[in-house]
Amino acid sequence: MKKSRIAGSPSGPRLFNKRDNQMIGLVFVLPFLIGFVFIFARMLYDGLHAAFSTAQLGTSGMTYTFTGWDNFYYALRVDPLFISRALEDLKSLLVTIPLIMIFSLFVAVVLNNEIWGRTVFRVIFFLPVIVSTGLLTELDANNAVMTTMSAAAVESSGDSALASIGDISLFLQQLQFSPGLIEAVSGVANNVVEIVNRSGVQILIFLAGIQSISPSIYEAADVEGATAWEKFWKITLPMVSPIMVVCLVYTVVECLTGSSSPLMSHIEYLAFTGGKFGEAAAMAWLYFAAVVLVIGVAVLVIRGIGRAGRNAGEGR
Amino acid sequence: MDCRSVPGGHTAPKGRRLRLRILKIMKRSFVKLVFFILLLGFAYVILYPFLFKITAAFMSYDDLFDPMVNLVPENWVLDNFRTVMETENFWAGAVNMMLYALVVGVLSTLSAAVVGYGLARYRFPLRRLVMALVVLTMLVPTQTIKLSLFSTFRYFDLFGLFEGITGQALQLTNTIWPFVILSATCLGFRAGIYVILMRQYYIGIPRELMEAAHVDGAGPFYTFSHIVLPMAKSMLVVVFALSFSWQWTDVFYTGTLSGSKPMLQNIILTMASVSLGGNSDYYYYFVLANTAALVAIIPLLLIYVLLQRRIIQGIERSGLVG
Repeated sequence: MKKSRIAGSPSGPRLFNKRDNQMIGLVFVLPFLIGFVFIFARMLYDGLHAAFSTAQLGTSGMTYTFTGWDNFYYALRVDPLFISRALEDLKSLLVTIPLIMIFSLFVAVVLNNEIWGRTVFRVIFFLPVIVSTGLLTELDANNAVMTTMSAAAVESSGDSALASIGDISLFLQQLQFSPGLIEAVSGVANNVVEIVNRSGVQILIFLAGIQSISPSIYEAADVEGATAWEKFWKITLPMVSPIMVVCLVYTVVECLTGSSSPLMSHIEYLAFTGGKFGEAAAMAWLYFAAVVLVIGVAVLVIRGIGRAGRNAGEGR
Repeated sequence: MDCRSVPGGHTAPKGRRLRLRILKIMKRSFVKLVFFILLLGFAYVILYPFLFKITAAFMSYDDLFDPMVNLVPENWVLDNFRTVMETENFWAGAVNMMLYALVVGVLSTLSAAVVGYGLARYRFPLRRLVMALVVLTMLVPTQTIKLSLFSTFRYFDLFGLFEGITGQALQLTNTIWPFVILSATCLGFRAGIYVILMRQYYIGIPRELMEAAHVDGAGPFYTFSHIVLPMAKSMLVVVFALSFSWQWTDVFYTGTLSGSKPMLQNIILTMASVSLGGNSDYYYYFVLANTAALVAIIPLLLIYVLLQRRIIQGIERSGLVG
């Protein structure tokens, strides 16, 4: 933050930026600090403690028996599901996140043009952020199970082709498509649902970013005879890249802490049904470390793209 | 439309220019049409679950099991609504859900406004550390802390204080207090975002404004409450909308910390689990659960539709960008 000079008031800026004054910031931040120290840090400690011991829920809280790295060994070597589920999760993360970013950018670009009803579309695309969280996510997961169940029931009773609740794979089956094709299309369709519903905030962020690019740059490009494609790659994308970092971190955080990933349900099962809190905690921390790594790499990559775009723009 | 883009330039005959112009407009309209259809498709994906819930809610018991009736009910009835609203504790659960949402919303917004300001305006030592901690609270997966969350509030004790006085730790579960505490300290569900949003906004406020206030003799708290805060209204609306609605639809904290208290979210989830229980009527219970969810969501939807312009504008002007 720059020190600005207010003409004719020599005491102003200096007193304003004096060291002691800055400590007031700590007062403002106090609520968070208190909460962090008394509550969150304790939860972190509990989690770490559990990861390094055998934890049991007793009558007055958790009791721990220190076991060193045993739980981690268990997670990586003994447990049959951890590694496969973790890889599954990371794989879907690596697929979903770029898709969400690309989709949001695309929609933001489209919404920036004059399309009929674009305010309505903005409202609709942002809707899942407000409403499709928590309760509805759980319920719709339930719905998905129900769909398969009832579709199967209807199938077995031999009834009409109309009776599926919008289940695409069933519909295609009725049309006698090959199983491979059905699987591919259903996979994409299910992905689409997830991606479209998770993109609300990102679309808005990108939209704001695109709108902040001054039109004169585009006009200059037009004069030089640039095509829309070139305009996108050489102007829009590099100028949007700092925002992409923000967007990326937000998306990863949301995907990670979000709904049921196969790994998380396994961890939950272990902890609450199997009573293996310690092992579950160790797994969760391993996964967490992996994700932080992924975020770090992605941020570096995006910064690299941004730099490359700017370098290209300057003719280097 | 300038002459440079027409082959032949300004010497091209008028007829040719006119035809090319029409072609260009047609191409542009075609592209717009394609985009429109695409957006329509995506919008349908978003709206479909709601569509389904609405039509299923109005179907009679017979219609539900009639394979000929798929989306549009033969008889529009209100039976499902009636059944759902007569469920035990429905209204108590609804009131609690709304009350908690309001409390959490207000407290989260206030605390984020305060903490965000401290992080934006002042350069105190360890500032970057605090920022990192805020992000950390968002990164830790919720399942990891679920058990600890429960035990922290079940046996709530500040360094043995309560135990020293009353011989026993406080049991805060199934009350509103865990929610009050969590939202007042920016520790709620993804509450780090609120702090980050507010901070970004404050950074966009010109320093000159605050310096002028300082020159005029305003203390830091006065500057904050009377000058900066009123300016931040658009962002405050966004944070309130997010925290309010996320608490309204929250199942994680509500389930973990208020399992025994009538809360609509828990009730609906229980209804949904009944549908999976292997009952022969499972589809009916499934529809009931969805109807209940619809009833729970409608007020929130209405609030969103009314406020959406403010909310969306708030994000676009957030200063997250540029």
